[in-house]
Amino acid sequence: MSVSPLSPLVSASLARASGDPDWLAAARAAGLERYAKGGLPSRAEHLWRYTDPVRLVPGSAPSDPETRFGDLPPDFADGTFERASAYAIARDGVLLRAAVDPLIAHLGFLVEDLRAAAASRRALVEPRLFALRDTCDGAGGRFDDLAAALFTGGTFVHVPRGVTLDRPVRIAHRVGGGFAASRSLVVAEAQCTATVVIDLSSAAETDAGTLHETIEIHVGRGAELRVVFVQRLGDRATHAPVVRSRVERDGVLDTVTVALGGGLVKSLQTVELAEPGARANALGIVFADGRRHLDHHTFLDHAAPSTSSDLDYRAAVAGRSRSSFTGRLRIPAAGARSSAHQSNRNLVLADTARADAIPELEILTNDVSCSHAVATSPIDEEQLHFAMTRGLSPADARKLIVLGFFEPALEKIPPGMLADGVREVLERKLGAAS
Amino acid sequence: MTPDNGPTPAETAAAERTASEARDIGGDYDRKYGFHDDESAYDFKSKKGLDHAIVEMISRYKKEPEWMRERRHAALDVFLAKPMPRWGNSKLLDDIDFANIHYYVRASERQGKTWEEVPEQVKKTFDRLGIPEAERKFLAGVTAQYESEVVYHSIREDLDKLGVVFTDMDTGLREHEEIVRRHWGTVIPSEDNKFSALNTAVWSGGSFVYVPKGVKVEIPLQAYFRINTENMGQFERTLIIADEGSQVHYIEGCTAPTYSSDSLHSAVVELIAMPGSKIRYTTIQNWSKNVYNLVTKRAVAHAGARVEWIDGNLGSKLTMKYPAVYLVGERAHAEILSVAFSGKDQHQDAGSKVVHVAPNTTSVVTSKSISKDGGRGTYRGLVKVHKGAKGAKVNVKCDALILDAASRSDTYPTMEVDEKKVAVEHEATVSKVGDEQLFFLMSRGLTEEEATLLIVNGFIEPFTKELPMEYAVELNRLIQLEMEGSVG
Repeated sequence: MSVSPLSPLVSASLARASGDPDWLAAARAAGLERYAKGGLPSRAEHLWRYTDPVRLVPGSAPSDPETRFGDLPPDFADGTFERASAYAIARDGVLLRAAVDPLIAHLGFLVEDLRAAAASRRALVEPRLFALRDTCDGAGGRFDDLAAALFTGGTFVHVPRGVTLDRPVRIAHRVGGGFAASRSLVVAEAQCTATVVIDLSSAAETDAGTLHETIEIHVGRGAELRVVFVQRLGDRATHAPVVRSRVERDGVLDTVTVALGGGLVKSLQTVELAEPGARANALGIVFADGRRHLDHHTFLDHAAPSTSSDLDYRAAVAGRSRSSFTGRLRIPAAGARSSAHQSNRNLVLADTARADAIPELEILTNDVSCSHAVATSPIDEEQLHFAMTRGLSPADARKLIVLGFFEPALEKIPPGMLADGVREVLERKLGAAS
Repeated sequence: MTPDNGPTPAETAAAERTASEARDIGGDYDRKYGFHDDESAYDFKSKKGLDHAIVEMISRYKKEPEWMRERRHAALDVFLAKPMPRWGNSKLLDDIDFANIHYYVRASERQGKTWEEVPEQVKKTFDRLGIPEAERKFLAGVTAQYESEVVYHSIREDLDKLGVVFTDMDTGLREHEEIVRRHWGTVIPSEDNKFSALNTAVWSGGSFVYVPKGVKVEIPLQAYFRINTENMGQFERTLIIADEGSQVHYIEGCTAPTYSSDSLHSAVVELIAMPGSKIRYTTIQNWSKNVYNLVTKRAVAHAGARVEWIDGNLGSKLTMKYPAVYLVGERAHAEILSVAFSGKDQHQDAGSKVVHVAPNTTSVVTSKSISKDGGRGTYRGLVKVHKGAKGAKVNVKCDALILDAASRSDTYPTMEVDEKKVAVEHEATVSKVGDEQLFFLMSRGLTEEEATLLIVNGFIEPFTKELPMEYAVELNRLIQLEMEGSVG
């Protein structure tokens, strides 16, 4: 299948590259070449079974990013670092402003514009940027290549060895009505502990923009990193995130993925457990209403022995929406003595909604403990009955049950960081859906 | 070592006897099953390769009605137009050389009516497969497919009296053309996939079963299929219709001689369960390990009907088989129980499909897979609940046992739920033989090999207990044979 207009993409890529160091400009060119050469992903693969990749192909070059963020979120506006160790605000993929709590600035952790860092901190950035493209079979690499060629900007987060950040790094990212490509890099060096919260929203509820973004996450030896993604885009937005992670010896990566918005979302998250003892915990909550099409794919690769993973994705579908979860779990011959568990639960709230699940296991060795489970059902009548006998209205009882269904993931969002905001959004949506 | 607790000479002798018997099960495979007939005795054998001329010849040779001849030709066009599937084991699929296959071989001109009339050479084959014994065991009827055509079948008189039709597909087409024409290809159209198109174009043999309203066939109907000529494809076509309120159990089992070059088996099996009826279809395939077994099996279950697929996969190089049930009538029920054993150089890509179309339909899928010596076992399944199938309940459970580090197990389940008031559950586990289980059994005096065999047999117990006695015994012996030398 051909790729629609390539020439504007070429010139855009060249224009972007003009301000970049040579190595980055070369990487952009290579990305563009791979994007142009490769065909669209095969729909015979489960990864693309439920979403036509053609819908994600941009028809034009990225639009010029807005330079104003709009109203800042309240905890940014007051300018204190009570609840965050650093703030960053980004618009259409470009970092507009970033600030680190001055009291802990001496720890040396960085929250910066990625392209600036590529020039000024080459030793930190170059070995890691694009390094994860081919992990996990390069799944979905094509759109990753596009973002490599075109990205206008992004955030670089670097937590030095042994540093513990007691409060999260909070990034607010807002996109408008155009096509934006962004790329971020999160590096947790050995033995550090940190949390990063990325809050993605639309500038206006009616914005029909498209965001291609790639986020690369490196978890060093013994490091513990938690990354929380909260996506509450407008109903007409298209979002194609690729999140690639690699975890080294005894490192732990916790991800919490919350998807509440967007008209069309095709999310790909891969984790390579690259060294013994590495662990990944992945929680996901998806609430689909209206006519949303939310498609989440995860790929966990136990590339080293004695690695472990636990994945729990939960979706509630209402209205005429559709949620798809396709999860792949691989234990190659090199992954002996690994343990891997995957579960996907779907709550169907409307007759017109739809939930699809394909949890795949590929196990190439015998000394493992591995399982997966999927369940799809409406709200349990007995639970509903029980709540109503305690005096709750049917609508409140439903709300309570759905919020309870999501609570295990909501609990993992750091206190004061959006969890209440997410609950509020859910309650509002549930009020409208019931 | 405690000499005073050692085995007595009698015990040692008994153990040796058992061991030599166990060895015999595999040791005489060539002698028992791997024989070749003198092919020059065959009456008719098409040239290799596939084109409209071959299809025309098959149809004319069989003196088929016009509509069947047209369907064959149309299906051939579909087969030629459809690309090879790009999913599954593409590498093995791409190795199939369709030009190097005999599409039709006929062993003898005439069908034997009684055992005595069956040609001596054919008889010898069946003797080795134990068919006459099976008959002695009060089996309902024997339709044995020798090469591409049924040469012998007998139906017990009481079945005749009940009006049950149990015959080969070619005879079915001749004698019951109206029924066949109404139902044939309605469950699996030739356009369904490349291999159903191939089968429709060149089908030969298979069984035709019709059970009239309210008739309950108490004893299982059995058929044996054999591949004999090298490079010969078998394309049998089976159609089973259970009319309202009837019941039938059909058993298909396979053994095949060992040949060096590849052979293709691509059957189409259609089951139609009318309201309130029950069909159970039991298969154990043990094709030799150079056979491609690419089969389309599908059932339609009407209101209150029950369809059960009991599916065992031991042989073949590559099996791709996903028995399906379309639950189109209210309260229809599907049960799919399968076991797959993948040994060296084998890929068992098996699974199930249940499609819930009507309200209050239910299905239970249980899959057990064992991989050993680098074998690959794949469960590939689909659960689809259409809008309107309110109250549907689905339970899928897949367990895989991997016996060594070189082997592989995959689980690819797909669940599409388009309706709110349903309960869909899927669970899968992958594990090795548990150290604690082994320890427990070995502390009771079993050797590691015996303990492993016991655990494996226990693992597939839900399957074996659904089989008729003689099949359960045969399966356990086959598993024992496959397991030999698994510890060391």
